[in-house]
Amino acid sequence: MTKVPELHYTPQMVPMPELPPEQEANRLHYLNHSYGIFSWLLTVDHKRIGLLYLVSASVFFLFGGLAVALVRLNLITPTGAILELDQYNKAFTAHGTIMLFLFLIPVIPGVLGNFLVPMMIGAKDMAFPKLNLLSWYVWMAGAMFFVWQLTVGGLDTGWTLYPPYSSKYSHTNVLYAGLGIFITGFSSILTAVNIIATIHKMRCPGMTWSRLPLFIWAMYATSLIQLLGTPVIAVTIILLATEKIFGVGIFDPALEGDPILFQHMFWFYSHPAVYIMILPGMGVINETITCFSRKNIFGYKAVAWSSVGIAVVGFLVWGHHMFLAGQGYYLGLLFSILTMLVAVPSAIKVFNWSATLFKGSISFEAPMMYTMGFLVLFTIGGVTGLYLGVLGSDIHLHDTYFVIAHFHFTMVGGMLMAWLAGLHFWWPKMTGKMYSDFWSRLAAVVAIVGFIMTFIPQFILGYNGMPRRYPNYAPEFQFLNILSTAGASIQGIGYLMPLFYLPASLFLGRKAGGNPWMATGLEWQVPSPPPMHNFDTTPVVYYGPYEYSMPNGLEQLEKAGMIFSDEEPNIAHAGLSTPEVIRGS
Amino acid sequence: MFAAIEIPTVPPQASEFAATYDLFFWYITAVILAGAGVVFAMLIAFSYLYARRTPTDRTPRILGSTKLEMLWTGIPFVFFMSFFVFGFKIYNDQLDIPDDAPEYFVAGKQWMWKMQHPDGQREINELHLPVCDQRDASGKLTDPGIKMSGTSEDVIHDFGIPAFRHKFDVVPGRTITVGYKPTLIGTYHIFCDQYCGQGHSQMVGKIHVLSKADYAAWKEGTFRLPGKNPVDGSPAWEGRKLFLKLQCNSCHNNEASARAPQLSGMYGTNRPLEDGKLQKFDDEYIKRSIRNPIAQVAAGWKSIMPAYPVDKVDEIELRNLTAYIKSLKNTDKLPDRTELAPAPVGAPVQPSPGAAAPKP
Repeated sequence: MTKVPELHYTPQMVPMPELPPEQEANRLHYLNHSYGIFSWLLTVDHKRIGLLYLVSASVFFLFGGLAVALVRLNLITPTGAILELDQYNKAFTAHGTIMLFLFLIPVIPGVLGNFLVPMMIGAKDMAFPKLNLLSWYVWMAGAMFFVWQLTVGGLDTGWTLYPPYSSKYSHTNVLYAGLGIFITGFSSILTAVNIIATIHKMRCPGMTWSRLPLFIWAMYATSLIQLLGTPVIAVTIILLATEKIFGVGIFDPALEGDPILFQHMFWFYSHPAVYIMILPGMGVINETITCFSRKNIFGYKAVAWSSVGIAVVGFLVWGHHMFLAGQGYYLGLLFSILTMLVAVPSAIKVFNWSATLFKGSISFEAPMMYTMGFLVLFTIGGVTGLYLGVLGSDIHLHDTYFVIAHFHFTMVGGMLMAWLAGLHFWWPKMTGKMYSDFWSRLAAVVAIVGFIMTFIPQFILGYNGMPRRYPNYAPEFQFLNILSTAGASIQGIGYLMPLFYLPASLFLGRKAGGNPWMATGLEWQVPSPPPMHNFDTTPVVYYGPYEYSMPNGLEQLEKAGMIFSDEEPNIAHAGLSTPEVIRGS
Repeated sequence: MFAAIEIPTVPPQASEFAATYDLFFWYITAVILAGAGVVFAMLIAFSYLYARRTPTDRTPRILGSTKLEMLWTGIPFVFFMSFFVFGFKIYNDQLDIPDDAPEYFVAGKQWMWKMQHPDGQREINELHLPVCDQRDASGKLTDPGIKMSGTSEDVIHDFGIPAFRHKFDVVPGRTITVGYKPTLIGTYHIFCDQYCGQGHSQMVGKIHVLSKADYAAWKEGTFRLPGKNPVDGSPAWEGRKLFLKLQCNSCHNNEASARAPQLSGMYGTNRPLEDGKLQKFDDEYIKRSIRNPIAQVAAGWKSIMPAYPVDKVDEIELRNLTAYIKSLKNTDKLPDRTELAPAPVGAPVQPSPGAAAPKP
């Protein structure tokens, strides 16, 4: 046996030994080791790049929120309360494109993925740090160009850009807006390459695939989709541009083209894109639900493989967006069956998460409140997708508010809640400060209540036939629209609240310490904020990522076959914080 | 702001498909409520039962259970497959359109719907259909229903009728055919359900499902909603055009100085002739009055109407004029002397240039 201190209680309950105050004040970490704007704009530190993404993604989220405020305010009256028809069409297009391309797709991979993937696997940085920075610049260039195009003339085709409207009839900047999206797509691809390489090649000793945190599995699956799917949307945009600029008939029937071809190509990417959005969110939920119920994840293998399953089968179901488009009888059949198949892994995950709570020790801080919100709202979103994935029932509900309600339940009630859960979970790690427990819990409640009030009426509206993208609507739909707008205002307040208490925590929050949530995972075994290169010595991993119920003491660990007696000295054990690790040079 | 708080619950079930659709919809709803209910029950129960009690709670090391995994993989899969099978069946049923169903046509263009009936009547943003009410002994509908073929003249639109639970994309460059079996008389929404630009939300209309008798009269142009012209393409519409072209309205008009009797609301009444006899105002009387007006002059009027023999007004045109006059209700006004060609049904009516400016 080597010189590892004996412990009489589960390690996660041990507060990490903190440095004495004068040493802590002088401790160098990733935030204070260099100052100046260029140390940020030219950084290759994955943690700083994560923060760069955090600031810009939050700004774009606000833009997307402003756009939807215009949309929902306009829908208070059946004849449009504040916008002209064209303005409304530009507003909802702005909302969709900004939220999808500039927020939902990049936010968790860009912020949490960049920040945590190297730390969770025990690495010092990503495989390609400079590529990581380039990724952010490419994204910012494309995003800023896109937002500029939205403001100088707008885009009114809807985020789906269907021709012939987008290629021949729209009077807006379709070409330039498409260029903006094209550029941001490369950021997706580069981030994906980085994450895949990092996970394959930079895992610390002992970190086998079956000991990876499930967030890593989720990021891996997401990166696969990003890598394989994004080039297709790039090509689709190029083809649309070719048709517009050169008059080559690809999608325009007047030039012997086929508008359904565009839909096939567009949705071949855009359906996997929604899995790019949700899988990282599911990854976050794995981390928070285990920590806040202090239990191992129920069914690690099932959850890990369901992420991969969703990624693979997700490429095979795009035609369920086109059941009524005229794609053909047999194609419709095929896509409907495959859609039923892709629903199964998500169901498995939800049951596994619920079972994780069984006999746990559950506390309800903000990350857990968002997690519970996710579980409820994503479940509703998922089951309402079944109506739409089945051939017969989609007929009535296609392109109505039912679809809008469904995807907002999965994207906002699912993904956004998961993002907020992750932000609140890892904020102490990223900044070293704790935010207000009261305000964060209140914000979660306000957001969730507002969300339900916004979108449940939309299911009713959709079943009664109110179509999507309507600035004016039949008068009998007014009451439900007003209810929905009222809910949206409440929801908006819930999302604005973190803009206050999170920055406030930087100045007024108490020091979080290395592991305020008593979580497992390598990122929690280093101080907050983390040192420049994450770990002072390379960690060695002996067991899985969610050992909250680990037996006491080292003999018990050995008896359980979880550590072995020929360990090397002075090496940090994942989950066992030793003083030697903290006080590295 | 609004008179009453109106919460629409279920749209009317106005077609045969709507009834089977709703059954399927509620089946899915029941299953998913049960499934989601199980999840929510677990969440609520576990949140309450296992809320943290002390900071050093011990929890059991549960890693999973293959049996449970198989259970909650298999059971949802079976239900999802049942959705697929049921949905596939009703999808197939609505694709099964009898060959002898009369064929209607709809063309979408920015931002209106142009419909055409099998006999040539044309409408804009409105569609009148006959109800299907023939049932056999077991209650099954034996009406063939109608066939509807649709295309677009510009961008992709979608012809949606919530009351029928039906919609289909109309795509430029192709024609898609669907079938309807309307089963409930009434008026229902038509919505455009594929974003098509500025006027997407203006591209709405009305379906009027009429009884078979009313529909036949409507086709002729004699049944219509008050104040509306006879439907485009109907005999009465052709008759109205002819009425104006032949300048019948130079004498048969609404002015005080009119030289000929009113024709509105006269059909079916008994009118006194100048020789004191009562003449029923029927189809034959109308035709005789056009062919040979001096043979039966109305009481109180001069015998000045010229005759229109067959080389001036042929038999088809005669029938059309008759249909038009038949269609004039009490509340209809004869067209003004200076009114230009009649506007299509559903289109906003421009005042004619020669008409007097409306009084403020």
